[in-house]
Amino acid sequence: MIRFLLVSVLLAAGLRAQGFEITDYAPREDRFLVVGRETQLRWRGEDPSIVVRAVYRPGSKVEKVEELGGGGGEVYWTPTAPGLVKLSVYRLTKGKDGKTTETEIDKEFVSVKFGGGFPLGIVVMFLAGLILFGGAGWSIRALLRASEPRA
Amino acid sequence: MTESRAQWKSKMGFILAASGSAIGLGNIVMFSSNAYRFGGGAFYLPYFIALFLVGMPVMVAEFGLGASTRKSFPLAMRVAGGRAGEFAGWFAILNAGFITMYYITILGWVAGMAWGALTTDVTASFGASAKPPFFDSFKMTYGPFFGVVLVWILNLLIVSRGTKSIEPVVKVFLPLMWLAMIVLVFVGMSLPGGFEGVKVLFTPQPEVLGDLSVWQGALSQMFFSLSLGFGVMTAYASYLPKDSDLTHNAVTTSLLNCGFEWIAGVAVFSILFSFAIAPSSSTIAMMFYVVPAGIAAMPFAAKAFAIGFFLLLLVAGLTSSISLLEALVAAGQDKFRLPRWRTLAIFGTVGVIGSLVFALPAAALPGLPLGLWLLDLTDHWAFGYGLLIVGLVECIVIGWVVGSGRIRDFVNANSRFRLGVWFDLLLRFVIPGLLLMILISAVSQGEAGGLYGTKTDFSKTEGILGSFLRVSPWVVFLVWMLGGGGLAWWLSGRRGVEEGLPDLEAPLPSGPGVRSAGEGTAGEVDS
Repeated sequence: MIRFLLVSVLLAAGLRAQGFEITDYAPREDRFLVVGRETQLRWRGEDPSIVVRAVYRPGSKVEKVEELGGGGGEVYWTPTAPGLVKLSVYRLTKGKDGKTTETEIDKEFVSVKFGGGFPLGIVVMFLAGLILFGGAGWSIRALLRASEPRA
Repeated sequence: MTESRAQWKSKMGFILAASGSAIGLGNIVMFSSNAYRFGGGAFYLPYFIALFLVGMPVMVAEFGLGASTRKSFPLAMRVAGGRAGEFAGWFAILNAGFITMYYITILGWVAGMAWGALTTDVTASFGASAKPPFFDSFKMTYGPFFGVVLVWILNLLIVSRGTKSIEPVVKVFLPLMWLAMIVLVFVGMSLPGGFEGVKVLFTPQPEVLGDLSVWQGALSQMFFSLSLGFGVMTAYASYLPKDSDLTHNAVTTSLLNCGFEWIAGVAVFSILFSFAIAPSSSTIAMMFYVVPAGIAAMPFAAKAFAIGFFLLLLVAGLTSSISLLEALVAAGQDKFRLPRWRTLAIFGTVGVIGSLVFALPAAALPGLPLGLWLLDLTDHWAFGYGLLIVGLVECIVIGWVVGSGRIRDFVNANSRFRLGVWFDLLLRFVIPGLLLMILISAVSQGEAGGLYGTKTDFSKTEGILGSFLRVSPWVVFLVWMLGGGGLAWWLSGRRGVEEGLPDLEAPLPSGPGVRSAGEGTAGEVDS
């Protein structure tokens, strides 16, 4: 318990230092966000040129970006998928040529837990483990059953 | 001079050595990174297809080549494909030589990280908010030089007596690696959200299966992960008795390697998810920044886990680097009949210098972002292309020149599981086709806009150094391609023991203790 508290305090301190404050409205057992549960994201200062985006599984082939809005210093967000999510705060500025440029001014990674449902990942994990270790066990047994080579 | 080829003392000794060679730094951090990037559990579909269709058959072929000829890779390829085969064999060995040099540089850094974990406050120096992270400040000193020399000394000592000194070491190191990884799994799973992270890692995202790069990623990962194309497996198998069950040896080695990746994926991803740290696609970044940041965030015993993690990396790296060194030494000994100590001295001297050169840019020019520049360029060619090219040539030589049927007959003579005609089809058509596809795709995607590294902006670096940096991508490419290729051609034309090589046209002998005429010298040969 003390361990969890310590980690939560450290994490919260880290988030605040970056300008984020994440408030999960539902009671939480630990520091994770949960799929389907609304969360409030706050950051310092109100600025209409700011937008917030959630990038699900950043850097992967299944990366998905969700626009969360912004400007008022807070948005409400309900995560739609589990996994690592990068929350980015961008400032939009319009150049003389009329083009809008985006600058990432803050970011934070959060872990989003499953909100229930069938744990297909566990099935895949066990199946893969069974093939690998079951196969290795079968193969080693067959190998050792044959006579040992000469020393 | 007494000449007898060394042999593994036990089947388990060979299995541990071969799987130790395959299980290296990449297995510990790369699988979880790749699985995360390539669709989680869905990645297992191309991964298993690559394992069964490419990894295992090529490993059987490499084992078959080594066990039938009882020669290291270049001479085994000479037996199989004449001078052209030997040229490809030497190119593979020299390519492995480049990789050995920078691999040991990385191990020197790993040793430094273990030292850093022991002597600094891990939470502060390894944490995600550390400025600069410990690795950045460490690699810019001459400290890594000590690590590199230490790792080379360990390698030379372990390989000094061939199988006689390698076997007892792997019998200790491999169980230790498994034990350490199992401990890490329990730690990761016990962290808040650890098990949830594993669920995320393995949950399939099937939409990625239509993406060609995911299949290429799985094929490349399998080829690299199993230590294929280095000449290592052929050298190790050349120390097997001819009546060994090569199919089961290959299956066991492959599955243990992939099983270790599976367990490492569970350990690493549970930690990363627990502390909301995104994996990186780079092995170096995963080893030196991402996973240490996760360990540093642990609420208890972070120092102990950091030391344990880097010692695990060091041991895993050593079991791979000794196999690379043995492949080089065995090749030199077989070809030129040199005493083992002299071969070790030659490769050791060249190797230490090479490894120090890879560590030098970061230490000598700390003001420039050059830490991994030379290593990255060399890795791009030697690892990214070299192994696949060797694999392709190897399949062509075995499949078409020797005839995969002959290797299959040799393997089947002593194997409980008999290979069918499908093995020939895989080796002659499917695997070369897949490797060719990956190579063409890599060239068209990676080099279409100019040679790798030439787009990097060095405009702020002036003078001779700036000029050198701008041409360095070409220098590295030419050294690898023309230097490696030229030296391989020269070596394949040198007089050695070719006249005494076994003839694969003749029936392949079998049975323990049966040796071909002119049997080589690797192992315990001394003056």
